[in-house]
Amino acid sequence: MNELEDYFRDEANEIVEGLTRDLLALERNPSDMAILARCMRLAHTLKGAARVVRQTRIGEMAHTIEDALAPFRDGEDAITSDYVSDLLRILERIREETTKLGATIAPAPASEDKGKGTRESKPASPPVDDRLETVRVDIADMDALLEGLSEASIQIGPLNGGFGALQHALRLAVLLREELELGQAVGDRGRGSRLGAQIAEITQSLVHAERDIGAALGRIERELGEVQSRAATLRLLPVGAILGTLELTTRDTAEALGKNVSFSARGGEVRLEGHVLSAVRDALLHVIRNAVDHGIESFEERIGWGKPEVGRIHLDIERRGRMVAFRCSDDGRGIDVAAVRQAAVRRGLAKGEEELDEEATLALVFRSGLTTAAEVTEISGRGVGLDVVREVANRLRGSVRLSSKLGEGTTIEIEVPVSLSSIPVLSVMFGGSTALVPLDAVRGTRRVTASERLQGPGGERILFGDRAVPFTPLGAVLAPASEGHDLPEACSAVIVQSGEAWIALGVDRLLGTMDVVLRPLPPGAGAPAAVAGAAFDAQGDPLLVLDPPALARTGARREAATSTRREAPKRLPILVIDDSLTTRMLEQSILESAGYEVDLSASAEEGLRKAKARKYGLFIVDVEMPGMDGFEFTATTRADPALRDVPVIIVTSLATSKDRDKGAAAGASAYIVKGEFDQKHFVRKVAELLGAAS
Amino acid sequence: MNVRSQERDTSGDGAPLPVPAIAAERHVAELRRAFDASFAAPPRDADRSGELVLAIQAGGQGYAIRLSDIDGVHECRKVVPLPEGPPGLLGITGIRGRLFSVHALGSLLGLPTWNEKPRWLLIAGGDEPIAIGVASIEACLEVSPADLVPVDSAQEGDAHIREIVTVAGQARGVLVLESLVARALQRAGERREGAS
Repeated sequence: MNELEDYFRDEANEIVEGLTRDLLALERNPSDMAILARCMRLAHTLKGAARVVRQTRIGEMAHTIEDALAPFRDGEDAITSDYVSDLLRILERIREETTKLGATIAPAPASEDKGKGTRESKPASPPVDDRLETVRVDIADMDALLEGLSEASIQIGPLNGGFGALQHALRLAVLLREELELGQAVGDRGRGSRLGAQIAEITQSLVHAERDIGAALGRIERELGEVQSRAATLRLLPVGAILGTLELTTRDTAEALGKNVSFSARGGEVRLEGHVLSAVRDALLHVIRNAVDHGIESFEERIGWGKPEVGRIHLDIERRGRMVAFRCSDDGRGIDVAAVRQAAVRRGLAKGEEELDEEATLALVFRSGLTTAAEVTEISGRGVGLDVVREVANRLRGSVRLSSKLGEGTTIEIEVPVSLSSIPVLSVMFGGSTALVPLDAVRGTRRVTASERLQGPGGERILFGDRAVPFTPLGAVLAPASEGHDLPEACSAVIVQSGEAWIALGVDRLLGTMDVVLRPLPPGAGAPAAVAGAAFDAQGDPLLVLDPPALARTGARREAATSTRREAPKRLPILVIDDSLTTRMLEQSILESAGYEVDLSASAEEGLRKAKARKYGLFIVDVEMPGMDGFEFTATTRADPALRDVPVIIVTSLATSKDRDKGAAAGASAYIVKGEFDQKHFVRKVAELLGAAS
Repeated sequence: MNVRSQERDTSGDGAPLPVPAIAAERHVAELRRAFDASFAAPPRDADRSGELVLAIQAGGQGYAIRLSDIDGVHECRKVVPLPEGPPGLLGITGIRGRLFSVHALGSLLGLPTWNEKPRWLLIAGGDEPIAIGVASIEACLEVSPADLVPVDSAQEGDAHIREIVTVAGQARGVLVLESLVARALQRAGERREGAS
């Protein structure tokens, strides 16, 4: 609790200062509704924060200020100077309370008794243990430290160069001694041995220097790298640091309202800058208080609806490229869109209920002054809370979305951009450059040979598990203007997923994983779609960090372009029957890339059932399958008047002329041997037969 | 101001040692006077009338830049290109642990031959700093204000030059970095046209 109280004291002091300033400004401009709204929000925030640390007196006083300001919100009556003075007096009381709060934490000094009794009483000092374990550091100081560290690391570069020169000198000394030894046989023996001894001494000293400097240099480099990365993460806080406060708020709010609510969270390890995190925490406190108060039903009501007795609030924290999303869901009653609509009309936010659709109505929940709570409670219900959420999101250049299902619950998602954050990445090399792919979006990596890159009208694809994933060389994404994105015959592919979209990035090689501090691109760099930001390497040079959602969209766009083409001619679908998953996927990928609709069957029996249920333009069938084989399937369909006109292509590994004859006898229109499989020929044959059939 | 020497002067005036409290009070008053006086005094180099300018080369042309307009000069190390961006945006670089976008000065000036490798980076832009790449720095010179001749930029056909300075017999345009930074940000889509 001490930590929380410390936070609260700092926060309360800031709010009291802000409120004092704003109340004085309001006194000068009584009609400025923006200042009034800000005062109400500050009082509301203080009320909530005070509740978390159980400072009910402060909470009540903040509530009084909020209450006292509410009547002026309509702008009909202007606030008077006397009124403001009264509020300032309440603020003064709050200030006294928070000061007392600081003093009460401090224990009486234990050494007091040992004194001579002449010591004057001093104000109680903060608890020594707490103060010694944490320090508050100005971010500017932290940045100066990081700059210094980065500069020190850069200096290792020339040192390495000097070390290389030393090694070279050593090699030369060794060569010189060998030369001299050879020359001794013919030359001046006495002079030669003197020189030899001197060179031996130089060599010896160079050997020492090389060993000592080399070892120390390696150690310094490693240590400096470690210090640098630790210092960089010092600037960041794990989201987990605010989860305790959120949980406590849930419990306290529920307790105050006689409800039973549980709080859970996932993703607490995501790290963010302190100022972003504290702003998001304030917003989430309001979201949670609203959820407990308006969302979660009373115990009896929940039983009546057949819901679990304990209401549930869950917070999901997820990194999405350059954004971090906080999704807070409850399993309460949801938002009654009709009630919000009525409230909006009542408050004059809309002329008639008909002009508000569901989305527009839900968006109104974030408007100041709109509440649907039947009665205003101490917890929330003034229509202020969600307004604060929107303001925080705007301030951080983020966004806020709300979705709700009546009777099932509400989800509020706050998405904020990351200014600095520490993330694990996969480092990859392409065309002599290095780039970093956020590891949380990487679904896997695999070696790919040129023949495994399947060419289609929508571009290349590779197989990853049972999925044909669009493939693109990373060079084509990161340097689209330059030419020559050729990959080696065998390259590596990094398979990236974001939502429903997938893409495989071709790279020369994988360099490994590491944690880096992701920085936003600097001013003047624009907003290139595929880049989430940059990180520094050990030499202080930037490395681009890729943006998985944007990359995956590139793949999806290609898919969309393909599917647009696919829709153009109205052709009958193709049924592919093969017991091998890989073959099915391969054929599906080729055919879909060529614009055909494809259905799949893993056996001839299943294929027959499908063939009877839907009209196909072509069957592509394997021969060797468990149960009915491909020849039998062909013969069976030829015997069926409804299916006999649908052409069959046999694709098999059976390559003898006897097998070919058997295929022809069964009634197949074409016979393709897997070992001789040629994609272009296959697509041509399909087009030919399908053209004839439709 | 030198507080330490002031301290010595006051204690060595030969007066009998006063009561400690009075001495302390006088001492504080002296210090305060000296402190205030140091602010009232003109800056040491205020009488120096010259303006420091850098003579530089970009896109095969010679220009000058007031040193006071620049936040830093750094040797150009590695510049990492970005996948998209306007012409002249060479990429990003790291200087003392900070990221900067690098724009070729020649391109910002609209010169046809801007595509040279920058050797130096000039940091400018205040709160939104960028690095401007120049091919070479020829000299850093002190010129008298009278040598900086204002020009009508409209007539000159170049919005980034407001003065002309003659260095070693050669007339050079003195670049206005503020408008060049604004152009770079505007090209990158981060500022509206016309805003600066």
